[in-house]
Amino acid sequence: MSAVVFSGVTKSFGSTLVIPNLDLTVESGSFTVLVGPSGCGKSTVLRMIAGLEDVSSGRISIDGEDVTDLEPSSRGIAMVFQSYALYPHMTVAENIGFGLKLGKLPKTEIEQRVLEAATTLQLENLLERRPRELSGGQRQRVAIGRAIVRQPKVFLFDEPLSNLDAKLRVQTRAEIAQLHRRIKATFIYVTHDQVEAMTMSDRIAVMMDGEILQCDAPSVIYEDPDDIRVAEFIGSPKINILPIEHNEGILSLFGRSFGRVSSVIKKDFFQMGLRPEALCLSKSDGMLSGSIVHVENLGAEVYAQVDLTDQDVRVTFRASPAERHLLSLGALVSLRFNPTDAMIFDAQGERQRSLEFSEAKPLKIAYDVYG
Amino acid sequence: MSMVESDTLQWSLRKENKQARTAWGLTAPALILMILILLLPVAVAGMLSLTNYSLGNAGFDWVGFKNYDRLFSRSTYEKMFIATFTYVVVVVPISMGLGLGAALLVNSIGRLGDIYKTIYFLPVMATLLAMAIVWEFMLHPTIGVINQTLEVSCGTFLEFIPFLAYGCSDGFPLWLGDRDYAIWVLCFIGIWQGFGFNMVLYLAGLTAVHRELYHAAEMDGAKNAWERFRLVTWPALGPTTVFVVTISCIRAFQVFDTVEAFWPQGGGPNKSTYVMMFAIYEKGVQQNLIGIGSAITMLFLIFVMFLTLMQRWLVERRVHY
Repeated sequence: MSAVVFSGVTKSFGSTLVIPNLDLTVESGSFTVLVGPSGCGKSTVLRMIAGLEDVSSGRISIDGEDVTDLEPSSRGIAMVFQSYALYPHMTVAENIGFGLKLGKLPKTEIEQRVLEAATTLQLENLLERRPRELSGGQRQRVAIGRAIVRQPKVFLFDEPLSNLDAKLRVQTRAEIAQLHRRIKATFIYVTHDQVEAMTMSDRIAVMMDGEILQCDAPSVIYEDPDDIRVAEFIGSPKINILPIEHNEGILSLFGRSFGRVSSVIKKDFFQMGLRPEALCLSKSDGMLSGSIVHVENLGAEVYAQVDLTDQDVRVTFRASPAERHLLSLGALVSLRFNPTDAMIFDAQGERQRSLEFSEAKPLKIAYDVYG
Repeated sequence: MSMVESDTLQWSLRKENKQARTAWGLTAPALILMILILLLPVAVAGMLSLTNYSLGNAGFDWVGFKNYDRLFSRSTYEKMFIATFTYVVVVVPISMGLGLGAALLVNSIGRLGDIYKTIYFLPVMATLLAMAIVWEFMLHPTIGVINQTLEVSCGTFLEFIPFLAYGCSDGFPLWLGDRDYAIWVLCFIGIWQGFGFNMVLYLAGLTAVHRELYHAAEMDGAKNAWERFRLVTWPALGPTTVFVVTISCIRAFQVFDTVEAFWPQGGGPNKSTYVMMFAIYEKGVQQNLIGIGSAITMLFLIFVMFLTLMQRWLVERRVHY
C-alpha cells in the first residue's frame, strides 16, 4: 500500500521551474527522508503534499485518494514546522487541540485526545503553559503533539530539528524514530542534514535541482549510489573523487594501471569515487602518495587530508587512533585501496557498474595494488 | 574573633558606602537634568494651578481648587471636554482601523506597496498647519472646491440622497463655520493626517508575524483569510495595537494646529471645537490667565498619564506572549 504518490508533478513559481517532473511513491508506514542541499525543492515537495503549495501540473494522491485539489485540513495529514509555528496566545493544550476544535469535535473528546497526546510526549505538566514559557525542545514536542492529535495518515516534518542545539538534536532524533515505530504512520521528513537522513529513515530520497536522483534504503544510498552527486552529498567527510582513464579494459590512475575489466571501450575518462574509509595507510608503495595537510581527530577515528604528490588533488582518508603517530602535518604517506571499493562514474556523473570490480570477479583485481 | 568579624563588617560597609556614593555621583547629572527640565516644570504648573497668577504681576493669591472647580462647572469647559473626547473617540478607532487595513493591503502586494506606503505617509510628513490652510480653501462655503463639486450634483439623479437634496435647496453646509459640522471636519482631517502613521507602525508589527503560523493555521483548518487574520495576525499584532492606541490617543488629545489655523479666535462655532490644547493656549498664553491654564494642563497630564499607565498594564498583562 502506498501512502503518497506523485505522478508527473511539476511546479513553477512564475517563470522559474523548480520541480521539472516528479514521480515518487512513498510506501505506507515508511519513514522517508527527503534530503538535498538548500534550494533543491525538497520543502516545496513537502508543501505540495500538505496542500500549502499548488501543483502546476500532475496529480498527488494520499492513501489512494486524489488530493490534488483538496484543502490542507481535509487531506488527512499533519505537519511539524521548522519554527514549530505554535500560536503564541494559546496554552499548550489549546495549541494541541486547536485543529480538533476547528474540526468541531465534542469538547470532551478533544480534551481526552489532547491528554493522550500530551502523555505520549510527556507534556502533561505543561498543558497550561504558553509557548514562550517553554524551552526549544518542549516547543518541538508540542508541535509534534499538535500533529499526533489529528491522527493523520501521513506526518510531514519540515526540518524540525534545525532550531535545536546539537545535543538535543541527537536526543529528539531518537524520539522521533521511536515515535514512528510506535504509531506506525507514514512519516515524510525533509532535511538538509545527511546524518538525520541516515539515522532516522528507512528510505532516503536524495533531491537535487528539483529532481529525485535516487530513492533507496540508507545503506544502499551510501554504499551503492547511482549518481556521483548522491555519492558526494551523502557521507561525511565527503567521498574522494579521482580522475581515471580507461583504455581497452585497462584502468589507470595518474598513469598507473590498477586493474583490468572486460570492456571494449577504446580510450575514455571516468571518475572514481572512494570513501575515506576505503583508503588506508600503506607501508610500501601504495597507489597514492602525498603529504598530510590537515588532521581531524574525532577520538574513535582520525581523518587526515593528503595533498597528492604532483597532482592538484586532495584526498581524505580514515585512520585508526593507533596510527595517529604517523599523521604529523607535512609527513609523506602512501595510501592503498581495494579496487572492489571503488565506484566508477562517467563524465556526466552516472554510475558505470560494468567497469567496476566486484567480489565475484576477483581475478580482475590488480596484483600491484596491495602494498 | 569577634574583633576580626566586626572589622571585616566595617570594611565591607565602608566599601558599600563608597560604591553607593560613586553610583549617586555618576547618576547625579542625569538626575538633576531630569528634575530640572522634566519634573520641576510639572510641579510648578501644579502649583500655579492653585493660584490666580498672571505673567507680569508682582504677586498672586492662593485660590485653592477654585480653578479646578471652574473647569467642572462652567459650560465653556464642558464644551471643551465634549470637543476633546469626541475628537479622541472618533479619530483613534478610525485612524487605527484604516492604518491596519492599509498596512495589510500594502503588505500583501509586494513591490508596488512601497509606492502606496509613500502616498499614505505623505500627510504625516506634511506640516499640518500648511495643510490646514489648503483644507480651509477647499472647505470655503462659496468658492471652495468641495461645495462647488457638490453643487454639480444638483438637478441630477443624485439628488435622491437627502443630504444633496437639502443642500441644493437650502445651500450646502458652511463646514468650518457650522457648529454641527465643524468638529466632524476636524476629525476627518485628523484621520486623514494620522492614519498613515498608524499604517507604518502596523507594517512594522506585521514583519514580526511568522509566515509558518499562517501555514499551521491552514493545516488546522482555518480556511479563509478572515479566520487566519483572527487566529494569527491579530494576536501577533497585540503589542503593536496597544502602542498604536496609546500613541494615537496622546496625539488626538494634543490636536491644536488645525483648530488654531481654522478658528484662531475662540475654538470654532459655538465653541464646538474648543479642544483642550487650544484651551490651554488661549487661557495661558492669549489671555495670560496662568492659573486656569495650568489647571487645564494638569488635567491634560492626568489623562495622558492614565493612558500611558493603561498601556503598561495591558502590555504586561495581556498582549505579550
